[in-house]
Amino acid sequence: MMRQPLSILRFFVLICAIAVLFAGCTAGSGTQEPSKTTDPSSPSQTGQSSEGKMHDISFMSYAYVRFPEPESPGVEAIRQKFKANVQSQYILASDFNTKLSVVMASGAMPDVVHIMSADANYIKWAREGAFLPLDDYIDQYETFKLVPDAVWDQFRVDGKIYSIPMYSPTYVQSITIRQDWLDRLGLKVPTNYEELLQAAIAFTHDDPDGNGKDDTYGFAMAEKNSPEFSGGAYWSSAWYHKDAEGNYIPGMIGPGRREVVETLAKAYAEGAVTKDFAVLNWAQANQEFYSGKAGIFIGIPNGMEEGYYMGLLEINPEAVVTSIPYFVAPDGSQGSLLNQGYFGLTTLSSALADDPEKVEKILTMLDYSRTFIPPEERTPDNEHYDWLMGGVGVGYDMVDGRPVVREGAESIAPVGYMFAREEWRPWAPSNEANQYSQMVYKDPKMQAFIAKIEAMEKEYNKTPYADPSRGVYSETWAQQGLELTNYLNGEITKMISGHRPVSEWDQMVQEWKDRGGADYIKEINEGIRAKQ
Amino acid sequence: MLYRSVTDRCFDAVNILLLLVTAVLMFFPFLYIFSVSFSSMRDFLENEFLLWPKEWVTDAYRYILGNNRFIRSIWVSAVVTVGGTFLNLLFTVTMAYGLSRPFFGQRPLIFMVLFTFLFHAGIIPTYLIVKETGLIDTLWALIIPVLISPWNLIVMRQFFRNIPEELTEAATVDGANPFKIFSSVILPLSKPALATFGLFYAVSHWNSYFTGLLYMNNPSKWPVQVLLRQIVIVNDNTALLEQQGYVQAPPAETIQMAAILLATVPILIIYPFLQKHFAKGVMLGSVKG
Repeated sequence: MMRQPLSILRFFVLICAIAVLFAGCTAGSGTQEPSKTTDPSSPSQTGQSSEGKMHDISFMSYAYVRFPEPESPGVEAIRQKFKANVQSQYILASDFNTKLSVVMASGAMPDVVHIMSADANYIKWAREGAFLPLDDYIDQYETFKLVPDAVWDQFRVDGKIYSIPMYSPTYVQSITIRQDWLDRLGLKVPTNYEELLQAAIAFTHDDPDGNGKDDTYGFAMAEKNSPEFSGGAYWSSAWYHKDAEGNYIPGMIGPGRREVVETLAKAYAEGAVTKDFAVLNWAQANQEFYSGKAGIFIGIPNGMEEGYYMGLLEINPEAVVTSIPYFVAPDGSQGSLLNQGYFGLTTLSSALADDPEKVEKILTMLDYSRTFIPPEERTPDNEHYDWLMGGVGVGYDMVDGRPVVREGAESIAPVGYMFAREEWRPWAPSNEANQYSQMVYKDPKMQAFIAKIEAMEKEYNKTPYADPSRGVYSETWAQQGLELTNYLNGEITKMISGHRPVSEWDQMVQEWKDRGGADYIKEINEGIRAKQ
Repeated sequence: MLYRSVTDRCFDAVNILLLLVTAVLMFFPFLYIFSVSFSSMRDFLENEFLLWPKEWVTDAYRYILGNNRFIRSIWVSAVVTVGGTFLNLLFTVTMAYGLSRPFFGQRPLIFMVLFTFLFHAGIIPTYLIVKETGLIDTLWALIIPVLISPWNLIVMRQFFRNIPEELTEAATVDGANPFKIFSSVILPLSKPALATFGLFYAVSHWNSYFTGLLYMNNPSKWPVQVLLRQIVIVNDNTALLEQQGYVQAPPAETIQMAAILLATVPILIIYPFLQKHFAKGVMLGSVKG
């Protein structure tokens, strides 16, 4: 009879042991919490009366490639400078909205969330009172005052502002082409779609790389008919054209887009477009161009991947890529669509309404990280810059007189924990002020390539166009936008690949309108008129 | 040696050939991942298809293992997989055994199990429960909500019911109490079942990423699959975002492949050790003589 209690005992001891083991593990990996000195009488804080209290600030943001660590020298630096203990989490961009929805539904919004865009959920949450209205703070901080009204208007909800936008230049993608191929074939840089088509066909049939093999073609493309290959706002997806009644129509069904699709369809028939573009992702389209197979692609001064271009030069040392000037449109305009001018919204939880001191601290930090420092002053001598970037020799190095961010610096530089993104994007006074070609890219060849695009923008972007539909909310689009887009993309893919003649364009547009596009156009135009 | 006709031999040959082709098809992706992960970026870009590295480069592995993020998340996944699987088995086996023996009030209990089998709570209610029970940001959040899989429980119960009642009766006569019977008679007989369900549980723990993403607010507790997604997934709307200038290109393919390999190998290693049980185990609950 002795055995009975013993084996039960053994059983429970085992379970307890496992539980203890687990508790140990959880605690072990979880004790990265810093020492929170919230005690106001603590001696370290008596010196600073204005911001004496250490605040815990939870912060959620998204990233694509580089993810700052939750505990790092950057976080420590912020603790010392601002007496703020930032508990950050960076979520993969494609998972971010899922997690945000769940967190918001559970009523546990972090103090600060950097939201991707002012979508239907954003408007809903703002109306439900989840966000803290920030209108009263806009005039109190220098970098908030710099934001133009056109940007604020894009994410106002019922007239109120709930977010501070992160800077983005108004550059859009423009067309680039292999200059060395043009030269070898004796062609000039195209000035309209007809010449672009001729160049693409010549690239396909006339062996532009001179290796004697039939291994080159014109346009590098990916699924969803990207990129747009727009030679200016006239051909872009912006609300540029008007219909017979004087209403704006989206560029995707406009005459400009039709011309582009006609060009691509003719090129495809000649084998001058990526053959299986409909099933290639964006990275694969990049590879088509940067492996020296395709000769026409797109470029933009900010946000190009240096590794791709350098890879092309490694495979093909004599490769030269140049920027095609914006085409002159039939209406005489010559210039691009202006990009929306911001990207990402720093939003505060309405629970902070009771703690104005904390709100002030968050906005002060945000403002500090947004301050524009001219490129020539970005040196270790500039204390502001040096601190934000984690210090010279730690977060960045000075190479040839300009700062180069170190690999892994996203977890070292304080700027990654200052309520926006892991990168530093100060609010610049103009596109050119950023001097992207010099500041973002390391290799002189890459810099020269980007400088060409910048010069082209400066010289030929004569009539930049602001899309009037920005910030106008359409219920139809919120519900059917994806379906409408997919329909158009699908039909246009068929047209480019020759499965549907481009002459059926008007039929396609009509069908698109019947599926809900007409309501969308109506709602957007009403919104535009209401704004004016 | 039995006499084998020509047709028999032909049949065998075709059979072997087909299976070989299938095996090669299965093996191909692994070889590709392996080769790319050990190649330089230049070789990768230049060649249409790599089946063997031209020159062996370990840059990708050095990059991944260079910071402790990957190793830390492998550790998190290992703890959850080993500990979680153990607890899964403990609770599944004990409950399944209990339900396999008749007792008063058994039917409602089985009904409740079947009910959860058919109807799941949504993401948000589950999140709320996890949050209110204080499990957020602890590894328990990855274990307790999935402690018992009703499907496994039911199959397990069926298995226990197939063990002859006489065995337990004999043990009772010998003076064993129910715990003794369970630990000394039933469990040794259930090794194939334990191995099978252990593997099912372990694989699902190792592969789960969504719970990690939702319940872990502290990125240092993310399991390896969350990290793997960060490294490997190329965003759907990358093109659109790149237009805004806000996306850097994904990490080089060589790094992606190295990450895939590192995250797959640990769970692959388990298979050979469990295979002998496994073949027996998956037959559980099917017709028995």
